Amino acid sequence: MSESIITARDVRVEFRAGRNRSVTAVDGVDIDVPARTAVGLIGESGSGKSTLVRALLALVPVSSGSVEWEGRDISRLRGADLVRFRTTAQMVFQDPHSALDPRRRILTSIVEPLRVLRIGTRAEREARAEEMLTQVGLRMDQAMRFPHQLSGGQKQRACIARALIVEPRVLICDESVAALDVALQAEILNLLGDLREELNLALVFISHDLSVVAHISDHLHVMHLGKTVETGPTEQVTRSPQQEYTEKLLASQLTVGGPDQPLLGAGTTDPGRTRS
Amino acid sequence: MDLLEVKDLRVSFSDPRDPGARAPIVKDVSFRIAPGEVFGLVGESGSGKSVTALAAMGLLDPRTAEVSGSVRLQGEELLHGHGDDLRRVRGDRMSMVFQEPMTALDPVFTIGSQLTETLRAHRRVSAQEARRRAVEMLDAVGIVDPERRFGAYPHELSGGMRQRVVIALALICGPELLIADEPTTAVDATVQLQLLRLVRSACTAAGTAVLFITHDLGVVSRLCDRMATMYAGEIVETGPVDQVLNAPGHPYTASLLGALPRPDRRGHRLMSIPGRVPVPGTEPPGCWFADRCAFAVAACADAHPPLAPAGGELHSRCLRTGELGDALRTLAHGRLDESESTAPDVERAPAAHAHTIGTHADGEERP
Repeated sequence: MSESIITARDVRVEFRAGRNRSVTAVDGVDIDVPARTAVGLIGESGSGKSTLVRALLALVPVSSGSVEWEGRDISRLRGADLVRFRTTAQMVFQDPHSALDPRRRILTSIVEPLRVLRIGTRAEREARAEEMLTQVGLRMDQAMRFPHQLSGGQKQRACIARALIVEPRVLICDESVAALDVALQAEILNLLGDLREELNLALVFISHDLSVVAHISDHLHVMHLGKTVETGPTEQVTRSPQQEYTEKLLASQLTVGGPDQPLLGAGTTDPGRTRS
Repeated sequence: MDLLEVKDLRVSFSDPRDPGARAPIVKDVSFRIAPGEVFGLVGESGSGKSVTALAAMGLLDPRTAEVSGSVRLQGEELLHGHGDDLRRVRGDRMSMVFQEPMTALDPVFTIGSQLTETLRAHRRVSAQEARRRAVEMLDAVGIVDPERRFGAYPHELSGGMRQRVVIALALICGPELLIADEPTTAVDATVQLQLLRLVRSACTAAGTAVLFITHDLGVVSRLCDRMATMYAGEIVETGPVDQVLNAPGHPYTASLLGALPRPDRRGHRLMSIPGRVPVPGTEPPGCWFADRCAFAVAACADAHPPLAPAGGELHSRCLRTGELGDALRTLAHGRLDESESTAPDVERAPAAHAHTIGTHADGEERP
């Protein structure tokens, strides 16, 4: 495997919950994000996957353990180094509508990361934004509109353009297709696959949907109650899970399957009923 | 006799900004559900499946929604009934489960009081008897320690437990029909599996039929007996689940199946559907899916196709359904590279190539 861009070791994230209590959202997780590799995080709500990637981006402080980038602890980054780290890893969220400012034109939102990080002149930023639009398949006239004038798929493309405008090496997608219909989901998954090839991106892909996360990921981390319960190449984890929890998760995925898939409740109520 | 018969259901909403415009959202929807049958209504967001369910339950506001056609439960017309008649039927002979359990439950009453209230609204039973039945129902939906949970408030329960309570509420009067609108979309996969098993077994045990509304073909494949696919407010395909999902008769259903990520498609592109669903009121004269369809020919633009028999019990609203058979199956269950090599004989409309993605894949934007 290629060298790791972000390396997390024994990461623990605790949140205070009231006076004398705390909640451990992430509990001793190791994770590598190698260059040009897609790493999938799968787990149910509350398993700590979103908190983990926020810790990888220094968006929440770690309570113990370390997150390293270029051999340095990201919690100690300041000034120009922090800006450089921010351009290394970017994030795309679940709901593209709430991730875009409703009062700003799409283009303004796409350019914003460059403005905030003080990169380039105004003209350079706009030129870069145009490149990004082409890359994600949006036209300039669409970018001049407001979020409510675009479809869900177009908005998610805009969010991807905004994340990619700083030329990151890592793109973190937190349930980025969960709010989209099947056809749009397929479109965004295809786009992410293409971008990964063209831009040599590493992806960290979070989903509660195993079929989605397995589709795009080379490597899987199965999370449960803040811990990684199983990790390995996607094929290996999905074909021969080693942990009971992974098996349970695999068994609960309802896929349009072959003739051997029984109806739910068959066996308990009417054993004769199976798919012919 | 059919338990539920929906015939030529049409729903339109008035637009306060444009009082003249009343473009229908649900267009001549007809389907039947037999007693004890689990029927899946599938479609993408905006396809009209929820509005169909709300209209069937009589839950649309008559001041804004105009509903025509017929909805019969055991032959009894529900659409143009009196409010009181409808109130007697709702919650008793037919009941509904929504997506969000927290909004379906009243936060200031205990779950026990909500269950007994529902039961006593429809049945003459004593308070003790109602309590006994409520506890029994909580037990039946898999609530551990139902005696104690009877006094719990909704916020004290987890999301999965709340949805179990909502299902208990819907089933406590032993309805003939349960309408479930995306009841498991907000819960985790393992909880979803438990809830679907519960719906299936509870309904089978009580002989309750289910109208199950979902966007998830995986759920339909494992839960339902028959299904209908909705597109742009109308049914484009209906039939037994086995048949529709294994060998779809409509290109739209086939495309949805082709868009699903599956283990054998890993590392391959997924089917995407170019263009957009037509805005209500702007549907073309011909097939409404034609400009997005990989198999459209000139004739598709001429006349709006009827929902016609397509072999077995399958009905499809596609002119070419007979000749497409294998091509649709390949589209639904093959991979893109395979379908390109195995379906070369199928004529494709050049403007709507199914495998394109990129600049125009999102198609026209909203006006």
